[in-house]
Amino acid sequence: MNETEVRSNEKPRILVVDDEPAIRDSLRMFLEQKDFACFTAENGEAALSLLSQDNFINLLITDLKMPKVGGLDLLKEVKRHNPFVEVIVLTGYPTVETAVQALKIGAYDYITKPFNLFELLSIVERCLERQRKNINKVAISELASMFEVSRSIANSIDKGELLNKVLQAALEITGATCGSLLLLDEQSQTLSIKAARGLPEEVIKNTRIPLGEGISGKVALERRSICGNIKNFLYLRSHSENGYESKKDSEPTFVSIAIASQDKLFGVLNVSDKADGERFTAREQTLLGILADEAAIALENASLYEQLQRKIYDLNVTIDKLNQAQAQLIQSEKLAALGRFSAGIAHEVKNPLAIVLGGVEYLEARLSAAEENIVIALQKMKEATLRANAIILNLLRFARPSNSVLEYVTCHDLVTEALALFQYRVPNRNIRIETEFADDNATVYVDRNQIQQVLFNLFSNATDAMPNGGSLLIRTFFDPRHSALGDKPACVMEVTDTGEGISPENLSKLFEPFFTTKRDRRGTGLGLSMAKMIIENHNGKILIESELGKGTRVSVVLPLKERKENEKNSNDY
Amino acid sequence: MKKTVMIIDDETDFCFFLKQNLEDTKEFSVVTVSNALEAVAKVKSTKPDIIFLDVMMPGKSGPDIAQELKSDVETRNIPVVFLTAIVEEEEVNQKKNIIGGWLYLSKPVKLQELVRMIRELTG
Repeated sequence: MNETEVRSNEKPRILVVDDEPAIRDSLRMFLEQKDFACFTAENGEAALSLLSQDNFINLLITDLKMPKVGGLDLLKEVKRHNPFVEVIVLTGYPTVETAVQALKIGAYDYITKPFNLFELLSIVERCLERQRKNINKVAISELASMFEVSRSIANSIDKGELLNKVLQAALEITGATCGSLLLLDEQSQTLSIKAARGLPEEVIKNTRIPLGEGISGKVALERRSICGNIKNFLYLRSHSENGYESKKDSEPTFVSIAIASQDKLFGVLNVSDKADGERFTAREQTLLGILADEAAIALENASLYEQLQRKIYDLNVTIDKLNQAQAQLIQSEKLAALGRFSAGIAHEVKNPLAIVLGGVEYLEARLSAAEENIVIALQKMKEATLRANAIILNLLRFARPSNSVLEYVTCHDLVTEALALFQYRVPNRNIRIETEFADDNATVYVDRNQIQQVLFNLFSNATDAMPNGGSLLIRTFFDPRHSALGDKPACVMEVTDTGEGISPENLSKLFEPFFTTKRDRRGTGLGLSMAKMIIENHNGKILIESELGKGTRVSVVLPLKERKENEKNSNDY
Repeated sequence: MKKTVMIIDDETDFCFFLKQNLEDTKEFSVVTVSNALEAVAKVKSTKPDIIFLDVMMPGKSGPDIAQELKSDVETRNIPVVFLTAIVEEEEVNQKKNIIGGWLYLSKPVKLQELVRMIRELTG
């Protein structure tokens, strides 16, 4: 479609049309001598056919009276095709009036036969000079408006807004009243309308054009443009293209152009139905081409921007995960440090304890016959020594990771066993214990002893929180999609007390090693941090909700793990 | 005849009380060694019926001493029991006092337990 565009950097091209061979030839020889490219035709029809083959000229010099298509018709046709083409009319005296008419419809000047060749040359030169100025002027203003459009398109990050801007620009540039912008859906390989003007709603909604089908499909598949004459073009989706596509030079009623970058097809831009009933000029088609290229770049940018947004989102998610992991790492690092520390002090403390115990036993043997009070004192010292040792053992056990023995077990079993142990060891302090077991056989795959240690700890905490009595509710249930485990199926054990509750500031510190609110009641501050570590080692979560004065609920959430058929329940590590 | 019990431990106070308490039972005579480097020579010269051996000592570790005693014909048949402050009592109990093929007792150790073990191993 660039064929009729005026090119300013080459030799000016002049078409001489006259039915008198002598004039044609002398003009051509003269003009070629003056460094113009010159072509000739014997009448209007021949000129038009010549233009249709090699149809770029700067200047038309035409006789008015010719057989078949005359000079005036030729002038009109050429001007409509490309308004930048200048025309100089040759006329004899009897047709000056016609010459004046020619000036009215766009000829630059007329010259009467017979003419002086140098007189003609000066008119030609002035004429071409004006053309250059006009072209520059128009080119600059077009460039400016294209620049505006492309800048506005380039700034559109939002795809919907971008598509509307492109379509709007296409309509403005061409004066079309109808237009559509279709985008390719990569998965289904079909085109659907994403922006439209002058189309019925259901067409916009329902149009799906497979690649290669219809005009738009063909344009998209072959990444080119098709223009032609067809009424209601945009309504059509599936038909043979040949009947509608017109020759390159003709002036179509519609233009369909692919929006594609070098390696990617985005969609198709269609315009039709010019407001003035005119056809799309070659120049307008050129501008649409530029617009389509701009749109492709902008769409590429928009999709890059989308990708970037996704990456940023992913990055944020990763950062969140990293932060969590870091927090966990700090926590487990604390526990690990505690472990090393415990192992270290165990040796240092147990040795002196061994001496104290040895000393006590020594005195016991020697003083047994003496005063009763001394025996009692020694007994108490011995007990205290053994208790100090027990505390160290406790610390070691909590801090040292031990090999887990994993087995399939139901939460019901875990809770009843831990509860039996708890009730046996802990005297009933006016606390009512209620249980609610889900009627299911959902199993978890855990170290039974470790989980029971956790449950025992939770029961102790709950009863400690109710020094004046209360009720302890223990529930187990199955949750097919637990949010704490990323919506995976989970078995939940819930321990709820009606105790004093935990203040919000303490709630956040509960899992820190050595944090305790039970200083007076001999808390070590290790129970919950250990529980958390154990549950997390089982890929579970431990959750605490609490309200001061009302009570606390601790949920142990463990992933469901179905026992496979024929699988033994022991020796699983 | 009284059985001879040897205690090898760098904690001299621990050795002192253990010796007194064991000898109070009138069943045993007790030899204590607090320098790990002298331990093997002392075993050879004393020929005890049983040895209680600390694990962590400066100069030479309990397991090194035990290994040396086991590889010597002269001493290989003397029962050796480790006294350790590192291994948990629970673990020792769980494994019936045998860890890695060796007998263990966890510090602090009660006299009764010590006596029971000596009787078992030397009886």
